[in-house]
Order: sequence, then structure tokens, then C-alpha cells
Amino acid sequence: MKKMLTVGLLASMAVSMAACASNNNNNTASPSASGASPSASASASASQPSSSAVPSDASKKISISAIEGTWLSPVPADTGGGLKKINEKFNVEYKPQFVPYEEYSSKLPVVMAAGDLPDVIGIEAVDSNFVKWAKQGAFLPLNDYIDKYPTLKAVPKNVWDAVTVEGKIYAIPQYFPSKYGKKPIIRKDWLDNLGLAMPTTYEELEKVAIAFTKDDPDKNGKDDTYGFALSKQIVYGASMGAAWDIGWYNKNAEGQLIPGIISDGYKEQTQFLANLYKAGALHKDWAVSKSTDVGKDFFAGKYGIWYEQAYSMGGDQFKTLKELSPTAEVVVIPPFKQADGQQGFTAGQGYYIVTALNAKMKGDEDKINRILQMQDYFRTYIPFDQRGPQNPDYDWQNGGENVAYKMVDGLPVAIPEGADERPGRYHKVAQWAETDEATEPYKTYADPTARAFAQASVDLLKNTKFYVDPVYRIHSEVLAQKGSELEQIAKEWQTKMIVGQEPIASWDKMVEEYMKKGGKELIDEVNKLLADAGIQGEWK
Amino acid sequence: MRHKGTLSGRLTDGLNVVLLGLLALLMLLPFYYIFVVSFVDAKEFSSSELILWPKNWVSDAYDYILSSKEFIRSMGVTIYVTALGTLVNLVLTATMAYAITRNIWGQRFYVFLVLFTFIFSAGMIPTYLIVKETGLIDSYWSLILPSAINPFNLIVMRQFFMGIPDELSEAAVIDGANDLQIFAKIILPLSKPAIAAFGLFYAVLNWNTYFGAILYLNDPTKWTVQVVLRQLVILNDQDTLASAARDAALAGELPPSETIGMAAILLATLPILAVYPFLQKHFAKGVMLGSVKG
Amino acid sequence: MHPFEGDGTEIQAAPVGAVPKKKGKLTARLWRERYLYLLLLPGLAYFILYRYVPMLGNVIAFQDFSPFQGFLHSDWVGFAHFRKIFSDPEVVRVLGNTLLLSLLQIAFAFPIPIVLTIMLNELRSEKYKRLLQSILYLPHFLSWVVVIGIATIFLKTEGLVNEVLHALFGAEPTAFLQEPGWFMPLLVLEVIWKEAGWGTIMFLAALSGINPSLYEAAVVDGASRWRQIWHITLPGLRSTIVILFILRLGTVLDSGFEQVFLMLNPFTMDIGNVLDTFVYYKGIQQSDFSFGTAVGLFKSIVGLLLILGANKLAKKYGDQGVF
Repeated sequence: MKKMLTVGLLASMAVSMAACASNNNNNTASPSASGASPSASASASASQPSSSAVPSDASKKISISAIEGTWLSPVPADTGGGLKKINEKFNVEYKPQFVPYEEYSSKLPVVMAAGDLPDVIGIEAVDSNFVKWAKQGAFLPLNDYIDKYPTLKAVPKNVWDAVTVEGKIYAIPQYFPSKYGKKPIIRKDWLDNLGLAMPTTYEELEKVAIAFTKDDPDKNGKDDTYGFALSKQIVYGASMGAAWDIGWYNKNAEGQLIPGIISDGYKEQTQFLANLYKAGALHKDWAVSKSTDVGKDFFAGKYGIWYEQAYSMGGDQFKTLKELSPTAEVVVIPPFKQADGQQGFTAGQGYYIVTALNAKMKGDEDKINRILQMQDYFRTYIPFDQRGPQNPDYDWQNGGENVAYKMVDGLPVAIPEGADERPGRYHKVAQWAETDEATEPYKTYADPTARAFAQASVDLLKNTKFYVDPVYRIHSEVLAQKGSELEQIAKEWQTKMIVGQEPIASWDKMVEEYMKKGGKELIDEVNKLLADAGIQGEWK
Repeated sequence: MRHKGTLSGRLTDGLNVVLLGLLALLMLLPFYYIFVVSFVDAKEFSSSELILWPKNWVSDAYDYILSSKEFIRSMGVTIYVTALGTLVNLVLTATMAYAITRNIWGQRFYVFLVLFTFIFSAGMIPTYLIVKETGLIDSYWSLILPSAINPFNLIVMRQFFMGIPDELSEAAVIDGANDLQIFAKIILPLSKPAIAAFGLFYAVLNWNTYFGAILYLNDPTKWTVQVVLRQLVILNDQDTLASAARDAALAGELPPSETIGMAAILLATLPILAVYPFLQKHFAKGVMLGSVKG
Repeated sequence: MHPFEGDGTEIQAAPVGAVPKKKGKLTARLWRERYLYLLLLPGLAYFILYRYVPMLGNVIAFQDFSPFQGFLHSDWVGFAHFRKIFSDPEVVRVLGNTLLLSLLQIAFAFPIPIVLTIMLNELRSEKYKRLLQSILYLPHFLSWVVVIGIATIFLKTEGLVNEVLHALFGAEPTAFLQEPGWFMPLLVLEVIWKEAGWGTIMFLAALSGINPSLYEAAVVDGASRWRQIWHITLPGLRSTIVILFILRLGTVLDSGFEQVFLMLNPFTMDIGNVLDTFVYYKGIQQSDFSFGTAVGLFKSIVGLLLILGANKLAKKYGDQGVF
């Protein structure tokens, strides 16, 4: 049980903890001196901006309320020592309220309708509600504050665009790597067992997947493997690069950007999956299997190709895999070369959870700045090697060594009983890392197999190009209203095509239905918005 | 007692016994699966698809849940809310149901009033506003009062009251009893089976209180056991929510395994299951007439 | 004498608006019924405060409601949300599916608890009966997520059901979950499995009102077991059955969203997309309160009409109905 908790804590620490060697009320470095990473000079950079930039009177006790969703169980109790420490350190009366995410989308509008919206509002994703409420004036524009805080200044333009409505920034995006999300992975040991090379095209991938199914890649003498793991709704599919992914990359005959799900690239992917199904390399039940179950089966050694990420993944699954098949080696499949010469994956949005401020605070500069100071402090990145009692901020944020955590083999491990002593549990934001590589995801895993996988993934992906999908940078009303319905229509067709109920030749019929039910309108609007904003898709 | 003798009677009896027994087994099967999985260790669970008998029994999942003080506290809250809530439910439902059983002025109108709320319901936001205006936010009463009467239960309970022969109350009137006395001394005692049945319905609804607790109680120490345990169950079922970023954010927070989810289901269900056997005796045949005679 | 006989007459004698002409008479009547009003008032207050006042909020069906702007300041859009539902050509098929599913549920899942109750009632051993009751009602306590999770494990092509069928009959595996033909039967079976035992509680309570001497007399008369069921047990359950049936009609457009949604997949979409799921795909995901309320209103109006119709019919055939 303890081991399980270890990994969980490490991962969540990686996301939520920040540290910075400074004390509460100094103001050494000028925050606007450079865009340098706060982590690069942890001891020099201040947790708070200089007093000249922020006219906040630290001696005034300020009451701050907050609401946010949580996946934690149990939810932090508001009597914990960690909360008291926050109140002392920042001279505030901080009242955070945590709501299980499953019901957060119900609770937030209700609280809003009752006029009880707290000062700080956590929102999981920028959706149509966020945009609507921002337009109606629920949130405070933050444009004037960004430059004063190093961890806000560090946010790249394309991520700011996601929370910008009609030119105003309405929320603070919290860090999530754009590169280290789920990627296609393959059993390298199976490739070696069968003397096959890493696939570089869909034809090769098809051959590999079929060999994984038929040629007993695990050499156990039984016909008990499948080449390719797929789950219902084609959740991850087989996107070996931006051109085949669901992002807005491909263009239609009129030169308009179109959603990937109706593109020729995705058609190629669908054809590939249909071939696999026909050859028996997909499980017959894939269309009714949950991705969690399929993932479990991959790590039980049943499948050869699946999806996993290097960042914040838990890690237990690799231990299971190693126990069941000691020779297992899992690596990311490098992206395939596209017809246009590009080669790379679609980048993630670069954030997860945004934090908005209540518009009612307008004019209360002390309060606004105090909230942003807290944000900045907890967002400040702490390099992995400093995570321990030697770093006073890390130690403080995690409730103190041997109280809420202890060091085991150089890694911090949670003491469950001390959970409520950790201030970081009450002000839960991710540290803003200057680059995705700076998060050093492989260091967070205690399990050597998970570590090796993460290390290999980072080594590959840091030199891989990533396509920044422009659609996240604008706010299309049609997309918000019809996007999921349209996607549903396409996936229904594609699922039937993969299992052979519909021929791939029906692709045009699918596109026709998609266009008729709002797809045309969607594409026109997105392209107009992109043109107006001067935004294009770009490779990084 | 009946048809002991005839062969066909015995055959029918035998068939009945066997058929019901098979049915019971079918309904027990998934519970057996949940029970077994809750005792399997995480490794064994990951390695096989269907476990019918664990290789080694471990209580890790239960240790994990039972070790948290939140579980014990929330269980206490749930028991309190269930007991108090069910009492309020039964009192309000029975009194109103009886009043509109009788031929009072406007009776049909009141029945329609109740029926209408069975079909038309209020939205979440306006209900929240009323709960707030009546000062119930962060009070346990917010879990009890807004759902004090279930219109379906009221209508059916009224039906049961109407089944009680009029002669009984008419006789009481001649003896000088008023309506309150008739209700308390004749109707209620005669309606034990119905009260037991609706008590159970209400108790189960109260026991499963989940959404109201999240909506109306801001203080997590007041949450019910369903809220505390729910996250352990649903986190294993994220497909409808697939998003790469959310997946990743979850990975670090995920409860260790599905075995904990299964243990959570059992722990959250067992106490309320224990109520039924105590109510069963009230469903015996002829209760109503028996008590009239006695 | 049967306890359910002869009731209902009171009610029919008191039609709506049976207000006595003279004011004095009404006052006298109210005074005579003062204790009954005392019993009525707490419940009445509850219904008005917690049911009817918030029901006013349903006006958002005609608004583009934003919780930030509130009920008073959100824009009015008239019937736009209703148009959104009914302008989709697919709505015809969706409503058809919804009604078909409800019809199947009423035809198969509704009578099962009654049959079960009678079967339980016929058991000789009181102990066995109690044991069975305690087991049969267990599935009610599992959520749909869990029930369908388990059903999926059992029904997959490599699942237990297929293995058993293969072992017994050498049958080829059937993809139960992907066959459109199996979709509705599975939904009905799941509902029966989950709720049938629970449904017996109400009928068992009703049975307890039957005088045991009726059975004794029947035995003396030499009535067969089937005759006893037909002439004593079923009449004893009749009014409960009728009222539950009428109320069931009120929810005819509700399909049990969670269950259907979890069972749906692209292969079963044509037969399985019901109003609740259709609406979900159309916009509830964005927590569109107005749209959801509009759909709710539509379902309620249909339910109300059905209940009123069924109530009339029941009365025509001599039952007292709901009111």
C-alpha cells in the first residue's frame, strides 16, 4: 500500500509543488529583469515581485476565498495545519473550497447563480462556459498584471491565447507539458524477438502488428497476443504524426484548415486499423472496451502497441509488466515522415486547469496582488534535485520532513497521516517549468522500468518537432456548440469502417454528413477567426 | 398447509423453489465478483481478466479505506442523516398522505398538486437558491428538507391508506375519537407493512445522498460516505472524459487500483443492507387483519 | 371481506370545486376537518416551498440562461431550444426508439416483480422465503456504472456467457454488445436483474393486507392453487398494480440515461439512441441549462397527458385511479 502511495505522491508533487529559496518578505530581483526561468536561479529569484511593481501592503490581513475541482479522495479538510501555514506566511485568511470534479461542472454554475462566486476560481478546461462567462464580465482581466510576476511572464503566447477572449486575458493557465502527453508505444523486446525493425510507415507498422499477433512475439508458445491495442471511441487511435492526428493540420481543396477527423490523413489511419481488424490484429471487443481496461491488458503483456506518457503517469503499470514479463522493454514509436516532408507529433495545449479571478475584486489592488503573489510563489519551479529538506521552500510546502514526508533513497515519500500538514495540498497549482525538459519526468519514478521508459521517451521527444494546433488559440462558438456532436458522428462512421461494416469508400459520405450537420459552418468560422487573429498552425 | 397432498402441487412447489433459487444465484453472482476482486492483490488483478477465486486473499483495499479518518466520520454523518431524514420523510409523508385520503375540502386539488411534482421537477439552480434562502447551506438539514417528501411514495402510501376499511374509523368516530386519534391509533398501526416498505425506500434514498452533499455542504467534514467513496470508484471509469491532460493529471492521483473501488462499493452498501432483515417481519401475510382482531 | 373493496367511493363523491354554496357551510366544514388540515399543512408547506417555488425557474427553457446573469437578466429566446430538438430530422427515429424501449420495459420489466411476489408468496418455508427476499433485492444497490461494467465483462466475446454457451452447445462467440438486435433485450434484462427484487417490496407490503382466512376458505372449497392466485392474490394486488402502472406512464420518455448511455456504441446507435442520449450528444455536455430544461418540460408534458389519460381509463373500468 505504501509503495502505491509513494508513486502517487511523487507524481503529484511533481505537478503541484514549487519551491524557491527566498523568504517571505524580501524583494531582491526585479521580476521584469529578464524572462529567465525562475528555476534557473532558484536562490536568486524572489517569490514575490518587487515592491515597486506591486503596491501590496503585506501588513494588511486579507481574506481570500477560492473554489476548485479535485480528484483527491478524501478532499483536504479545512482544519489542516497546511492551511494555517499558508495564512501565516502570506498574512491572509485563505478559504479554499474543493469540489469533486465529477460534480464541479454542476456546483460552479450554481454558486455563480447564487452570487456566491469566490475570489479565485479554478476551471478545468477552457470551454464554451468559460468563454461565455468571460464575455459577460464574470472574470477579472489580468493583462496588466502579467509582467509583474515571473511565472506568469514565462507563459508562452500560444497558451495565453487560449485564455484570451476579445483581447483580454481572463485566467492563469497552469502548467502541463505540451510534449509529454500520451504517445504511441511499442514492445521493443517483441520487435527484437521477431527480428523486426522499428516501423517508419503505416505499411511497416501493419506488418509489425500482424507479426505481433501471429508469430508469438513473447515466445511463450501460445497464441495469446494482439498486435495493436485500441479502445472504444478510438480514443488514441494510431496517429503517427500531426498529419494523421485529429488536430487541425490538413487543408481542404479551398485551402481552408480542416479538423483532422475528416482529413485524408485520418482516413489513412482508419484504413490501417481496418486492415488490422481484418487480419485479426485488433481485439474483437475493442469497440466496447474501456481504455483503462485495454491499458491494463497492455501492461499484462497482451498487446504490442499502445499509448503512454512519460510525464506524471503513475508508474505502477511498468512494475506489473516487468513482473509478468521480465524481458519487457517499452519505447515510443518515432513519428512517421509525412508527405509534406514534416515529421512530428501534435503538441498538447500546454496547460491543464486555468485559474480565474472574480471580476468583483476590480480595483482592490492589494487583494489582487496578494492572490497573484501566492500563485507566483506556488508556481515557481523547483528543480528535481532540490526537492528535499535542503530546500526550505520545498520543505515548507510539503509540511516538513518527517512530518508530512520523508526521504527514502533520495526521493521524497509521503507520510499519509501528515497530508493535511502540507500547504501545497491547499494551494494546488502546478509549477511552471520553463521548458518541458526541465520537468525531468524520468527522475520522478522510483521503479526502474518506468524510469527507463520515461528517460528514453524524453530523449526521443526533446529532439522531435511538434505541431502547435491553432484551434486552441481562438474561441469558436460553433466549435463549442457542435464540436462534440460532429466528432461523435465521425467516430460512429469510423468505428463501423474499422470493423468492416462500412467500406472505407464511404469516407466521402461521412464527410458529407459531417459538413451538412454543421461541419461547413464550423470550418468557415474557425478559418475566419484564425485569419482575423493572424494565427496559423506552426511547427516548433 | 395448502395442497400438501397432490402430486402436481408438489411439483409446482418444487419448481418454484428451484426457479427462485436459481434467480437468487444469478443476482448474487456479481456481488460475488465484487467481493472477490476487493480481496485480490493489485498484481493479480492486473494480470488476469476474470478472477473467480483469488490466489491469495489480501485486505489491502480495506486497510486503505478504513485507515482514513474521513471514512469513519462520513459514515457517522450518513447514519445520522439517514436516521433523522427517514423519520422526517415518514412523518411528513404519512400525515399528508392520510389527510388527502380523507374527503377534505379541496382534496382532489391537493392530490393533483402532489402528482404534478412527480412529473414536473424544478431545476438544480432554483432549488439551490431556495435552500440558500431558507438558510440551510452547510447544514445537515439541506440533505433532509429539500427531499422531505417523495411524491411517488406519497401517492402510493395514500393508496395503502385507502385500502383500510372505512368501518374501522367510522367505529372510532362513534366512540368519540377525533381525526388525529384515528390516524395515530388506527391507521398507523394498521399500516405497518406500508410504513416499513416506505421507511426502507426513504432510508435507501437518504443513505445514497451524494449530489446534495456536494451541492449544499461546502465543508468537506460534513460530507456523506458516498461522496468520500465515490471518487475511488469513478476514477476507474474515465472513458467518457478522455482528455490527454486530464488522464495525466489523474495518473498521479489515482487510487491504487480497482480493487479499492470494489471494496468501497461493498463498504458503502453493507450497512444499509443490514436494515432489511429487520423490516421483513412486517411483510408477513395478514398483518393488517390480525392486528384488527387483536 | 376484502380490504381493498369499497374504497374510492369517498373520493369520487368529492369532485374538484365541490365548494358548498353558503359560506357558513364551508367554514363549518373546515372547522370539522381542522385536524386533517393540521396533518396536511406541513406537507403542503413543503411542496410549495421546495417544489413549486423553484419550479418557477423552469422559465429558463425560454431563455439563453447564464448563471452569471441570473434568471432576470438572461436573454429571452422564445421557443429556440424546442426548435433545436425538433428541427433535427433524426428526432423521429429517436422518439421511436424511446417509445419502443419504454414499451418493452413496461411489457417485460414491469410485470416481473408481480410474478416474483406471487412466487415468493407461494413458498412454504418462511425461512427460505426470507433468505430469497434478502438476496433478490441486492442488485438494486449497485450503480449502473458498476452493473454495466460487470455485464460487459461477462458479455464480451471472450466473456463468461460466451464460454458457457460454447461449452454447452459449441456455439460460436456472439458479440452481444455490438449486435443491434441484442441492444434492447439486454437493456430490459439489466433492468429486470437490477430492479425486479426491489420492486417486490411494494407488492409484498400490499399482500400483507390480505386476510389469511380467505385462503383457508378457498382450500376448504377445493380451489386450486391457480384459482387462489387468480381470485385472492391478484385482486389483493390490483389497486397497487394499477397505480404503479399509471405512474410509470408518466415517465415514458425517460429511458434511464446512465444505463443507455453506458451501453451505447457506434453499432447500436441506430436502435439505441433515445431522447435522453440524443439530447446529451446535442449539448447537455456544455451544461446548457436552458436546453436541458426545455427537453425536461417536453417530457413532463407528455408524461402528464399520459397519466391523465390512463387515470381516466382506469376510472372508466371501475378502478379509483390516482385521483
